[in-house]
Amino acid sequence: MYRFDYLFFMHELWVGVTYIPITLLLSIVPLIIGLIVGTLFAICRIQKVRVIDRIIQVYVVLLRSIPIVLLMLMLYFFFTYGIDEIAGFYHLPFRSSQVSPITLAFIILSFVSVAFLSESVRTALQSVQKGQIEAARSVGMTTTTIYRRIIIPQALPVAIPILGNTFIGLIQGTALLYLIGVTDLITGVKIQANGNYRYVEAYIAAAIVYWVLCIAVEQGIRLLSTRVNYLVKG
Amino acid sequence: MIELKNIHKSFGHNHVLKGIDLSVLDGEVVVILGPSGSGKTTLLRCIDFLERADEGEITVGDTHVNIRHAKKQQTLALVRKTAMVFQQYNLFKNKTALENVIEGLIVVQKVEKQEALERGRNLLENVGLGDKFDAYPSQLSGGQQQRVGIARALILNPEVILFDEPTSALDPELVGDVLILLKKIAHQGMTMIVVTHEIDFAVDVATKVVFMDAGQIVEQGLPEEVISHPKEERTRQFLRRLLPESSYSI
Amino acid sequence: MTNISYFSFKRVWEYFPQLLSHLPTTLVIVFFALFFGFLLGILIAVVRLFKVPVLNQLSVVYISFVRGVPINIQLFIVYFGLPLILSPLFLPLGIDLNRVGPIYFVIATYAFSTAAFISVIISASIWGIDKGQTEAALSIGMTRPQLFRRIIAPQALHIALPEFGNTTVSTLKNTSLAFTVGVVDMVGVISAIAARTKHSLEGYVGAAIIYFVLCTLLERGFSFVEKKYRVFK
Repeated sequence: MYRFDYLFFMHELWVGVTYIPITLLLSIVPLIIGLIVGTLFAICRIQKVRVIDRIIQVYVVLLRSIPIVLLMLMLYFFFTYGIDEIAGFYHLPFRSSQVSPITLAFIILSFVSVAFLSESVRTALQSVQKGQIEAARSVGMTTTTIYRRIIIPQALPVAIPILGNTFIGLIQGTALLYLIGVTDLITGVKIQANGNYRYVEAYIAAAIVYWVLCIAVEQGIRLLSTRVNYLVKG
Repeated sequence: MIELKNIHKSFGHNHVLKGIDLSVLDGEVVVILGPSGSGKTTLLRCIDFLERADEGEITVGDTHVNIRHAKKQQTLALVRKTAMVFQQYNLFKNKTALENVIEGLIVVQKVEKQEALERGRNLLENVGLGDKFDAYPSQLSGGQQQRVGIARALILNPEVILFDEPTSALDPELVGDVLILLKKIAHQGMTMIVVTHEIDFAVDVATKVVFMDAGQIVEQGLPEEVISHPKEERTRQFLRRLLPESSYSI
Repeated sequence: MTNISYFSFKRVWEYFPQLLSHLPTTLVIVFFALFFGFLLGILIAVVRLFKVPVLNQLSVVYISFVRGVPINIQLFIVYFGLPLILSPLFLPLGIDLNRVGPIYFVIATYAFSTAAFISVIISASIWGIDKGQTEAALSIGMTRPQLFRRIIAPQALHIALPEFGNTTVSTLKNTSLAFTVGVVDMVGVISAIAARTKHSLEGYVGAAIIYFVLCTLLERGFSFVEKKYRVFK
């Protein structure tokens, strides 16, 4: 019967905890970028901006139906080879090896997050009833004012839970970044286990850290949701 | 005939029915009036075992049930002698109008499918829905849905049909049709217990009016007694609120 | 920039047959993961619907774990952990779990994970049905089993179908991680190709295209079935 090494497990838990800040950083930055660009994309699609609207649609469909690990590896090789090729072609004095994997991770996760969030934001914005917008227009508001005073406050309560799901998705996505050389939580616990082969303890510890992180984010989102509902609806 | 004896029901600390006695003869149309929260709907639901009363006895036809000791088989037998029409219609959303009507015939009474279909079509035609056999509930108006709901109860040929505010959820212009249908059913001799706020219907059709308040029957009798000449102060207050244009006379 | 050498569509095209020859592995994983996932998911849903003591609380923790932990870590835990726990049971049968191929552990992981999602979908669909439907059925004298078979199940299926579609697609997408424990499927074979040709990007692009097509087909299939089912609302 296998003897579970509790001491090593506790040690690995602590190692996992020390990686929480980097994990959060790796998911929050793409979340914010995704929110900003995704909102722009969503507005382009709602306002039916010609051509751009179609391009965004294709982008979203592609990124949503391709497994995230393949996107990650594709973008990784695309960027690293691409940088080297451009630098070589123009005889520029830099190489892809000088770009840190973390920078690449930010870029790659942002690509994914933009796709998911543009859809979430679009759903939320479109959840606002037409009558609300017509009423706002009838009292003479401009489109910008309508967005600021009517649509966004009403869309926010719808958007926040979906945003929370994307955030959790991004946190879980960081667990794949070790594949492109980022020293993340998984790499951290694995290094410790390489000596004694106690991978089970290591991965269970990693799982628990991720689990707790996700539960915390879920609770946080729930709290934020009730707050925003309270602020918006009184 | 239907006989209720000493029906009690509580939800937690809230004593909703405080010993209800009521007898309804075959072919009678009993209208139960009363303010909201008086326990009218709960009483109906207890008769149909959608709520289980805490104590009391219920007799429908030759089935007698003491609620304290009732076995599943007994309550099922009693439920099958009653039928209910709901405020929100509650048509089966996954079935067409015709399927809704014959569902009980086929599943509960085990009638042959062909015969059930024929009876279902006839009945739907009788309630004015001859062109809606294959419509799903979502494609019907509230009034049409309620008429299907009534047909679904009627076809089972129960000892009594319980109507739980059958017109309350309807748009005002659709209420009339449903009330006319109820009247028609009453004239055919169906035993009915109707919870409603339609005083006109009570005056027109009821053979007995029951006024309930705070979980008790305050008074009961012929419509002209209870509605035109109520004995109890509580009844008078209630009717004044319902009919602000002074007293009602027949 | 006319002579891009790090990427060529020609190589994507050349890789395709090699990738496709490993497609069956991917499909086998998806099929068995869904099959066992559905069975287990139905069991868990029953536990939740009937609020079976102890098991119900366990199912809550289980579902939370599956939702909160990245799927590749779940995969590692099953891959490294399951042989340790189950070896004493299998050794007498002459099976050494340490020598069993990784694909079984991949199927087990995805079945466990799918089961959690399926159980949530089933119980939520059943809880989502208007109480009036149950009352109407009971009022015409149906028994509980009749109520379930004729009213609840069809309506719940109607609510659940799109969600089943989503779960199926995400299970398919998750199979792309099987290579991390050494399964040689479409993605796993790319490193072998790359070792020979020194070009892996085209392999990943090819695999991405295949996944994209499969996901799209599945989605289309599900929305076709939904439409057939959408006679009532």
